[in-house]
Amino acid sequence: MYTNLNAAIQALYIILAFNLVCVAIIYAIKLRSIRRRKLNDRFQTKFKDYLTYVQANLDGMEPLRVPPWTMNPVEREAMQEKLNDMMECFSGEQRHKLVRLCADLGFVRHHLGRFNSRTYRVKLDAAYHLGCMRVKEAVPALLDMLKEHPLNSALFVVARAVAKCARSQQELEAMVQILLQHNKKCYELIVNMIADSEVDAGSLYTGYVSHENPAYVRIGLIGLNVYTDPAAAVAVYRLMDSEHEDIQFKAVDLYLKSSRLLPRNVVGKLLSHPNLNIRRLTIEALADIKNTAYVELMKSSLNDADQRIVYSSAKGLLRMGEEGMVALCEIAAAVQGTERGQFMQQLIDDEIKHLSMQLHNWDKLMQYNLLMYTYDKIFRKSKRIYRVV
Amino acid sequence: MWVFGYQVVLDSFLKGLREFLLNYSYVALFYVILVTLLYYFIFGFSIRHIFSIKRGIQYNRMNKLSSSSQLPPVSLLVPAYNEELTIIENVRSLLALNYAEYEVIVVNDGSQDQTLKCMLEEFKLELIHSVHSSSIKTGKIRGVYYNPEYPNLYLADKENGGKADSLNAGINLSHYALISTIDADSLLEKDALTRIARVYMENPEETVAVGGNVRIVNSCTVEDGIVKDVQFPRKLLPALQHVEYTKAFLGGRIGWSAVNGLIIISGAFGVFQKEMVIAVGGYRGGYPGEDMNIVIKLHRHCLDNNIPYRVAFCPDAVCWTQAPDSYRILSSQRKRWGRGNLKNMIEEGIHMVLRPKYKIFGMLTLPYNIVFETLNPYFRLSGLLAILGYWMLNMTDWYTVVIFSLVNLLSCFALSLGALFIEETAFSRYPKLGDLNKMILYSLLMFVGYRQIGVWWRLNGHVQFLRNNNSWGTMVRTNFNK
Repeated sequence: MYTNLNAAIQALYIILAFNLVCVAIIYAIKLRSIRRRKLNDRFQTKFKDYLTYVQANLDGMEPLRVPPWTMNPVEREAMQEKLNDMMECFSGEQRHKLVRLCADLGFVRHHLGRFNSRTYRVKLDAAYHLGCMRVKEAVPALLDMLKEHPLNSALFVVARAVAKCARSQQELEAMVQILLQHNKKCYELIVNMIADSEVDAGSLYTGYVSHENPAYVRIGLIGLNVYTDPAAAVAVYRLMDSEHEDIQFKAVDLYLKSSRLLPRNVVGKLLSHPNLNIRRLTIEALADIKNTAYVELMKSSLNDADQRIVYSSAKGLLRMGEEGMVALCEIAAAVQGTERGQFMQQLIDDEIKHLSMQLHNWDKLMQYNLLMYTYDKIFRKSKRIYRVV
Repeated sequence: MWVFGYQVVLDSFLKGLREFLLNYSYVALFYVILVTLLYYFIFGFSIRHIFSIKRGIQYNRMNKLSSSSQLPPVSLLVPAYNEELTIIENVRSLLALNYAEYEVIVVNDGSQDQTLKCMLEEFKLELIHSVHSSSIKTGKIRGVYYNPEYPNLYLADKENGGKADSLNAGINLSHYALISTIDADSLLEKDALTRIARVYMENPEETVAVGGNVRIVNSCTVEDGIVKDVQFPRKLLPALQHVEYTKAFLGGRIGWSAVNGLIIISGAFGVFQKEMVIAVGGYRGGYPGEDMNIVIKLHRHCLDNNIPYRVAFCPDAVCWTQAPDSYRILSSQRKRWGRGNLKNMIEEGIHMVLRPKYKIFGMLTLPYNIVFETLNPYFRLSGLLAILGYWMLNMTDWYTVVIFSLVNLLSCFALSLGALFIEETAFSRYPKLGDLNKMILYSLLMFVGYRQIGVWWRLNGHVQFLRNNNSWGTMVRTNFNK
């Protein structure tokens, strides 16, 4: 049999050498990481008092002083990481003091210098640190980097850095525009990044909901979700009839959250909306508001064809005090004997059982008494009942 | 005269056999070179992507993200069958996740032990009359239990129907657009879900599934469902499985996901778009390998309907799982995997393989899986028989066999080293130098018996498949701390 044994032996030597090099590299990485960990532990001990001083003086009038010792590169890196963590935890004046400390330590200058590096790894690392330190001078260069950056996870690192450093709405708009060009529908992530910015994005989002591009509208709706501004209801009202189902849903969600006084005609329209999730969302919102004016409307939802809506509506009515409980019990009694009636009665029974286990809680005790009274009054008419106060 | 005839026949038979063995040797050589090159190709992709993954870990602040209201809500589905020893610890770990909005749905699949009782007593759950969708047909749900004191925990008790049926029941009960499957013998790290959510949020429309990384919990210290002290497994079999998992998850899956060719998301931990899972009919019941099956179906559905999609892998989202530590349980698991793989290839794979319409998945993933995973035991067994033939027919000598074996061993060992390189570069979860020594040692020991017996188990799995044995097999649970 012909075998090129010499070739195999040569291959063996090459693979063996390759393996040895790999082993050497792995051990080098391991030893380096052990060494760094040890240095980091040493840093924690050495700088413990200084870091306590920084935390204790964050609220003081005086600027924070730099440590009285010179730091080696590993210590500087560890210090930078520690300050980054603090800058993420604190906001307002405390964060500004930390940013000033970073500038005094020379970190800002150092990373601005590194940002001009030709090595991508160094440049990205610098972008991240500049973002942590909210260096406003870096925004134009960061936006340039963002424009040229390919679509991968690091793109969002740069985008977040832009958001953190931004001082104006225009800078945030530029960042959003670049990200939307990739057409990946990462709206929630964009809003999450904008939340890291020191710029108040309320007016940015309000502007976006009137934008002609649905992508901006989506960002606006997601962003406004954390604002409880009644003006938002006006801004999103027309979007409840949008041709995009997700925009409709988000607009309804925002509309319901933005006001505690919802027009009955709008509520009625939403409760008969063809989208099940919109109907359910409306019921939950009404139950949260606990305004008895909506009990009649919620009663109508007990006749919904979808059992999930009946469930939500019954659960919502149980949360709406005496009027809600009476309405539910009356409807359940009216359709007693049917599958729907049985289902509603089971829900009432479940609620009574749950409340009975929490009688140590004053509110729950009140609810329990109220529900039992209503239940007995409607379902057990022949029974003598007492209202316990 | 008769003797002469016999000699002629024998000579001609031997001549034919020699020719056959020689030709076989070329085929085998081609097979080995091809499989090694493909492995290296995928490993190359994994190593190429590890630096961007490392940057993702380094530059994304999970603590801050985990409390963000922009995180997509997730329903965690935990199918449980006879899990009384681990279920409480598992649920506690899930309830302690750092994540803004999620629910845990434990599905008791008609357990014969005290799983249901343990859950009801531990969390004081009460029967409720909930309403759930019927998007996927499942076995009968006997009851849904809930306690308002644990507002994001639900327990569904159903008739026994298998893991896939339990997952489908969980999907019907779930309230959110993303579902996550988690094994009841596994523990999620606190930020695992946030890490996966980050990957999802970068491209939410196209990301139909994201797989998490599975690590072995044996010998680690677990407190309140959280892995406190990470230790390399002390026992032989879990230690060998540890290096095997490292190679498969870090070396293989990162690379496959980079080319959108990932064929499996481990049942232990993965996140899926519920709408997509329902669109492909949910999990396939009645046979093991449902975790691979659902991913194949997702690829097929998206490619058939020209839906832009990706199946991603998130190596920093860690789920800790118990590895079998006895021969009996391990062999049962591997036979089940072998059966599941064969069934999936027959049921789904052959309809997609080498069809350009299915892109990388049809042109690379499936041929690779069929030739180098499903048919692997036959190549290995025939190779062993061929070596026996070469030796008996004086076609080779021990020196040649040793040289070729060493080439093969060292080229495979280099792949294990590649996985260790990824581990040390990006994660370094085992801080001691001694752990690295053990990992290298066990990466070598894998070649002495463990891999060979693995081939034998897989072959046995195929035999079981042909005998229509579709049982789950032996699985004994133990406490996390032992």
